[in-house]
Amino acid sequence: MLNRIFCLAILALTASGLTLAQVPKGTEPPKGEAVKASVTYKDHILPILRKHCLNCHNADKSSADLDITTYQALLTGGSSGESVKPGNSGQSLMYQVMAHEVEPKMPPKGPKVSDSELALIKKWIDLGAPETAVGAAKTAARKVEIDPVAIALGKPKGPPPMPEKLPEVALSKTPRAHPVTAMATSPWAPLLAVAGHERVLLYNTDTLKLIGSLPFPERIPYVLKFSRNGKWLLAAGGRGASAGKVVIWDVVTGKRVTEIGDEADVVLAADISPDHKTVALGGPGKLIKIFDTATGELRHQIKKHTDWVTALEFSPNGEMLATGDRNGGIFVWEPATGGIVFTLGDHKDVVTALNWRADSQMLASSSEDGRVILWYADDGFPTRSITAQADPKAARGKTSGVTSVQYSQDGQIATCGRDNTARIWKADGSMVARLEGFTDLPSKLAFSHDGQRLFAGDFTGEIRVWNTKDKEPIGKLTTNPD
Amino acid sequence: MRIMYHALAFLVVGLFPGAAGAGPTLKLFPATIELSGQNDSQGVVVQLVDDQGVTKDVTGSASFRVADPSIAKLTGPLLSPAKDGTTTIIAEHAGLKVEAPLVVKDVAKSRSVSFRLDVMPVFMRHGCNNGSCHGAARGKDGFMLSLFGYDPAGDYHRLTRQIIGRRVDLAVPEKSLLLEKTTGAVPHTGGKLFDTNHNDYKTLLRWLQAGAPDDGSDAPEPIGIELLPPKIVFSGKGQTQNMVVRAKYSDGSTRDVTRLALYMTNNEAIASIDANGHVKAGGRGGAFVFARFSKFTVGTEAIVLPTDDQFVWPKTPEHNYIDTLVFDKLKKLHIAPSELAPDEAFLRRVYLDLIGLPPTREELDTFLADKNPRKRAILIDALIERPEFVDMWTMKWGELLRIRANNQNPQYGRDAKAMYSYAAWVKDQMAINRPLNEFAAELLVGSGSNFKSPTANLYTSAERITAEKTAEDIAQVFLGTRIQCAQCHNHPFDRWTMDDYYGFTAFFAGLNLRRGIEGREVLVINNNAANTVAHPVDGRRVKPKFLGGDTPEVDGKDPRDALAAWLTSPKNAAFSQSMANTIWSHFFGRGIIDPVDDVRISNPPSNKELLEEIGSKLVAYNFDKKKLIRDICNSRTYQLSVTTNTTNELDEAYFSHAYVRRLRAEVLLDTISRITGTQDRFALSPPGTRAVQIHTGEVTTYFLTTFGRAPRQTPCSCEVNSEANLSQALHLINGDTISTKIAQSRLITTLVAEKKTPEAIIQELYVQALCRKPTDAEAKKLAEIVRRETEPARVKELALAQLDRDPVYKRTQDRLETSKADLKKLPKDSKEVVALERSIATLEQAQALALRRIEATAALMVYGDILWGLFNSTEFTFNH
Repeated sequence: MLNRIFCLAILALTASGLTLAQVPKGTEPPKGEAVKASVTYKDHILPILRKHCLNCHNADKSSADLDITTYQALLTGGSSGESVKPGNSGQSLMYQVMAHEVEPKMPPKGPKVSDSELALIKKWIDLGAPETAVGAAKTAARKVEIDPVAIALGKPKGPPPMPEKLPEVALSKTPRAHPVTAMATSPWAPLLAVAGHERVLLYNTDTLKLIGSLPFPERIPYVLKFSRNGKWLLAAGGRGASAGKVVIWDVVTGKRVTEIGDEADVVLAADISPDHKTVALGGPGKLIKIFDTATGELRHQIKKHTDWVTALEFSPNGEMLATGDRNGGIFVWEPATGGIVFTLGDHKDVVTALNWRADSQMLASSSEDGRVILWYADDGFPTRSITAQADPKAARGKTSGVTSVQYSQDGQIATCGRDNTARIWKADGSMVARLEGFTDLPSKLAFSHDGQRLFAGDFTGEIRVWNTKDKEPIGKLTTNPD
Repeated sequence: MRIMYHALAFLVVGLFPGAAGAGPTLKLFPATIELSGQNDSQGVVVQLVDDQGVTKDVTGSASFRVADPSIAKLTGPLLSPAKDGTTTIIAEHAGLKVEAPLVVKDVAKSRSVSFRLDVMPVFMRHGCNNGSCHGAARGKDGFMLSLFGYDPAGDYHRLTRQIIGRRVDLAVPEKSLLLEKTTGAVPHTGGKLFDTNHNDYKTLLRWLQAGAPDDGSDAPEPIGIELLPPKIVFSGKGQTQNMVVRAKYSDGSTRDVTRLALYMTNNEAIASIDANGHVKAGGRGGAFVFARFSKFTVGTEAIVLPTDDQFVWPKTPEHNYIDTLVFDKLKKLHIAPSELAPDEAFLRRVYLDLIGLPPTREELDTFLADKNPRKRAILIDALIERPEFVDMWTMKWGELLRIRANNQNPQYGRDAKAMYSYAAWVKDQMAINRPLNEFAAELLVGSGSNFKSPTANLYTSAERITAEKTAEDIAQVFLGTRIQCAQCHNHPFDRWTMDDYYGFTAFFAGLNLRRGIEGREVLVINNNAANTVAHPVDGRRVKPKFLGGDTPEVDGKDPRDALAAWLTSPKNAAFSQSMANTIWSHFFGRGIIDPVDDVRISNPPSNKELLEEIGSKLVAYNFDKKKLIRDICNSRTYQLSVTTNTTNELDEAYFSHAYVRRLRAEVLLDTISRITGTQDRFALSPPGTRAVQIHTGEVTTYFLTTFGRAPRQTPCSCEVNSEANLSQALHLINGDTISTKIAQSRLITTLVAEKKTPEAIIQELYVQALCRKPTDAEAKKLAEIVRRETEPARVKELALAQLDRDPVYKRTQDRLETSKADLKKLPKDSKEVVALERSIATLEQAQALALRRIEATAALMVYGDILWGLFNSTEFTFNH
C-alpha cells in the first residue's frame, strides 16, 4: 500500500514537473526576429504535407484515420496515436516516419521528402508546433462586405452590371488554346465568361468582342457562375491533386471580393446562393461543403456522395441545392440546414451538369449515360428522360454521353455531347435543332441573357455562337485571344 | 588421299577437343539493323561464344565502328542515323571480328509521337496500368487505365477527354496533371516515377506538346518482338548479359524497345533480370528471362554452369529417342544422369504407374528370376494390356472431363444416370484404346440427350453453361492453355488477346441446354444461327476464330464441327503436345511444361525438343497413347534411379533422375488394401470396386480426400493434390484406415499359421509393402524385436494389458465374480450350489479360452506393428 502511494506521488511530481517545464515555452511570446523565424503549420508545414501526404491523409480518405488538412485534425492524430508531440520531434511519429526512422516509412512510395523540408518539420515540432504565427490574424476574423440581395425572381432594378474598369492584366497567349472547361453568361447583361489558361475571359455577347480578363493563377477554372443578380462572378477550380478554391469577383470592378475554401484537389462544382450569403462547393473529395460567404467559415459538410462531386447548383429561389457526382448520383438539399430533400438516382454514369429553370420548378441533369433528365422540383419526379445526343453512327449498345445541359432564361434547353453536336430543345423536351460543325468534343453551353444566342465551347478552346431563332452560326470566340 | 584427310580430321579434333573445331566466335545482335527516321536508334550487344558454347557479354570491351561513318553515328554500342544508305557495323574483340549489315533510311523524316507506340508503353513500363494501380477494374484514385493496355482507345479517351482539363493541359503541357503526378510535383499515391530529364517524361511531354493526338487508323501496330541474344550460357555466378529487345511493326519497320520493355524471369535464383534488361547469373541450372512489350512476351533461355566446371559427360546408353533428347539437354546443362534403377525399384515404379497396384510376391519373384535382358520391355508390354491400365486412364480422363453426378447446376442438374453413361463411354474408349484425337473430336461435337449420347455431357459439366466458361475449359483440357485472363484484358504473360478469347468463345455462342421429356434428362442443343459474341470493349460481334489460328467459314453450321477438325488435326501441335505432355507427366510427376494445363510463353518447356518430339510421335502413332507410353516406360530416362549425383541433385525439371512422387490417393489406398487383403466399399459402386475405379467425383472417403483425390469440380490439373502434408501423416499414424485394415488383414495370421520363422515373416512384409527384401541391419533388428515381443512372458504381459479392453473377457470376468460371490452366500447343501458350480466351471473355461485368444493376438501384435511401420514409411507412400 505504501509503495503504491509512493509511486503515485512520484508520478504526480513528474507530471507536474513536465507541465511546469512546458509552460514557459508555450507562453513566452517570441519577439522581433523570433516571430519571422518561427515555423507555423499554416505557412510552412501545411504546404509540405499537402505536397507529400495529402493524397492519403485527407478528410475524405484519411488512411490510418489521419487527416492532415486541418491543424486540429493533425494534432488529434490517427489510429497509431498522436502524430505530433509538440516540442519533441524525436518522439513525434509524423517526423519519425517521414525521416524514415521507423516503419512505415512515409511517403510509402517514392523518395523521402527533401532534407530542407524535413528540417523545417523538425524545427516546427521542436518549437511547439504552432498553428499560426503568434499575433497573426485568425482566418475566421475576415469580413466580406456582402450586399444582401433580396430574392427577386425577376430582373433587378437599375442597369445590369457590366465590367467598367477592369484592371489591366498581362497574360501571354499559350501555344494551344485552353479547352472550354467552364462558361457562364450573366442572367441580365450581355456578358459571357469563359475559362482560359489561368484566367477568365469576358466577352460581350452582343458584339462578340473581348472585354477583358480576370487572372486565375490558381490554375484551371472548372466552374464559372454569375450570381443571380449578375453582380458577382464566381470561378472555382485549381491545380489537380494539389489545391482548389472558389474565387468571387465584382463584375463591375473586376476586384476579388473573396476566396472560399482551401481544398486538397481542384473544385469541380460550386455555386453561390441567390442571396450571396452562402457558397457551396465539391470535387474529388466527394464532400459537399457549404460556407458562409461573409466569414469564409464552413457551415455544413455533407458526406453522402460516393464519388467525385461533378455538378452543383442552387435553385434560383435559393431554397434548394442540387448536387451530382461521377457515379450518377444526384441529391437535392436544403442549403440552410444541410438536410436532404430528394435522392435522384436515375443516372447510371457521371452527372456532367445540373441546371435549374429560372422559375425553380424544374431541374435539368445531363449525364455520360447519354440522358438528360428533367426533374420536377416539387416531388423529384423525372418528368422527361431524353436520349439527348443519339448518334446513328455509334456502335450498337453505345450511347453518346451528354457533356452539358443548360436552360435559357426563357425556358429553352440546350445540350451538347460526345457525338460532337449541340442541340436545342423546347421546354417539353422536343428537339428544335441539331447544331453541327464541332471539330472536337463540345464541353460547355450558355445562352445569352435574352435567349437569342447560344454559345457552345469545345475541347479545342473554340466557342461557337448560334442565333437561336434561325439556328444559324454567327461567329466564333476563343479562349486564347491575342 | 583419303588417308590424309582422315589424318587432318584427326589433327583438328585433337586441337579442339569436344567441339566441332570452330574455336571461339563473336556474335553481334541484332544480326541485321535498320534505322528509319531521324529519331530512330538501335543498341547492339556482342557475345563471345567459346567452343563449349559458353557465352560472354563483351559489348563493354569490344570496339565498334561503322564501315561508312557518314551513314550512321555510334555512341558506345548505340547506333543512330546520319544519312540514308547501306553499310555495315563492325565489332572487334580479342582478335575476333563480326559484322552486321546496316540500312539507314528516311533520315529526313521525323516520326511524330504516337499514343499507342510511344505513350502507352510508358504506362506499361512504369506499372501505371497494372492491376494494383490504374489498371484495376475501377481504376485508382478516380483514374482508370485498361489493364496492361488492352483498350488503347479507351485509355486515350480517359486521359484526354473524360474530364476535360483534368489530366492533360494542352495550353501549357508541362502543367498537365499527367506530368505533375508522374514526377511527384503533386501528391501521387503511386509515388514519383521519373524526373523531368527522364526519357519517358520527354516522350509524354512531346506528345502533349503535339496536342495529345490520337493515332490515325493507319498507325502501324507491333506484330512481334524479339529478345536478343537468343541464348545465354553463363560460366558461373555473377556473370552478366545485356539484352536488346526489338519490336517489329505491321508496316515492316523495326524499333529498339529495350528501354520500354518489361522484364521478368521464371527463376530468380538462377538468372535474375533487372528493369533495364541486365541478366545476372545466380546458381547453376536453366532459367528463362522474358521481355514483354505491347501484347507480346518472348523468352530467352539462360543456362548457368558452375564456375570452373570440369564436367565430363559419362557414357550413358540410350534406349530410344527420348533418351537422346533428354541427354542432349543434360549435356548442355553439364548434368550427369543418375544410374539405372535396380530391378526392384523399376518393378514397383512401373506397376504403380501403369496399373496402380504393386506387384504381387509371385510377380516380383518371377521378374527378379528372369534372366532375359529384354524383361523390362516385356513386362511393360504386358502391363499396358492389363485391365487395370484402362482403369488408370479412365480415372485420369474422368478428372479432366469432370465426371461426377452433381454438376451444381441449379437449373440443369446432371442426373446420376447421365454420369454413369458418360463414365461408361469414357471407359469403353479407353478399353478399345480409341485414338485420342478421335476421342476428343467426338466429345467436342457432343449434342443431344445426355442420357443417350454420353458425349453431350462435355457441355453439362459446369455449374452453368456460358460460352466463355466452356471455351476456357476446353482450351485448358485439350490445349493445356489457360485463356481466362484474356476475358477482361490481354493476357499479361502470354500471347492471348481479348480478340483471341472472344474468337474462341464464339464457337460455343449457340450452345444451349434444355430439359428433356424425361425429367432428369438434359439436352445439349446448338443454335447454328448464333455464332458470334459481343466484344466487351467496343461491342462489335466477334466470329469464331481458332485459338492462334484461322477464322473458319461456319455460317449456318455448327461451328464445333470445324473446331473439332482443327483442334484434333495432326497439324495442331498444341493439341498433340498437350496430350503428350499430360501423358508424360503421369510418369514423371511433372510435365515438360508444368503444370501441364498452363502452357504459356512465360512457362516454357524445360526441354522444348523433347516436347516437340513426343508430340509428333503421338501424331505419328495416330494418337495411340499406348505406343507413346511404351516409349516412355522403355526409355532409360524413365528407368533412372532416384539416387542423385553431385551434378543432378538440384535438378527438378530436366529428368536427369527419377523424381520421388507421393502415391496418388486412389493408388495408395488400393495398394494398402491389396497388401492387407481387404476390400473398400464406396457409395454408388459395386463391391470389389477399387478406389481407382470410382467413376464419379463426389464419391470419396476421408482417406481419399485427405490424400487429395480430385473432386472433379474444375478441369484444373491442380485438383489432384499430390503434396504431402501433416493431416496425411496423422491419418496414417492414428487414423482408422490403416489400423482397421491391419486388424482385418489375414496376411499375418496366415504367415504365422504357416509356421514361418520371424525372419521369413519380416521379409514377406517388406516384399509386400516395399517390393524389396529388408537389409541385413533391418532384418536383424526387427528379428530381435520380434523375439523379444513373442517371448511367452512378454506375450502374457501384453495380453494382460489387453484384458480390460477385451469385452468378452471382461464380461466373463464380471459374471464369474458375481457367481462366486453368490456361491458364498448360499448354504452349502443347497441344490443350487451344484448348478452354480457348474456354471462357474463353464465360465472359467470361457475365460481361459478368451485369454488364449488374447495371448495369440498379442503374439501377432508385433507383426502388425511392423506392417504399420512400413505403411508409415515414406518409402511406401512415395513412388520412387
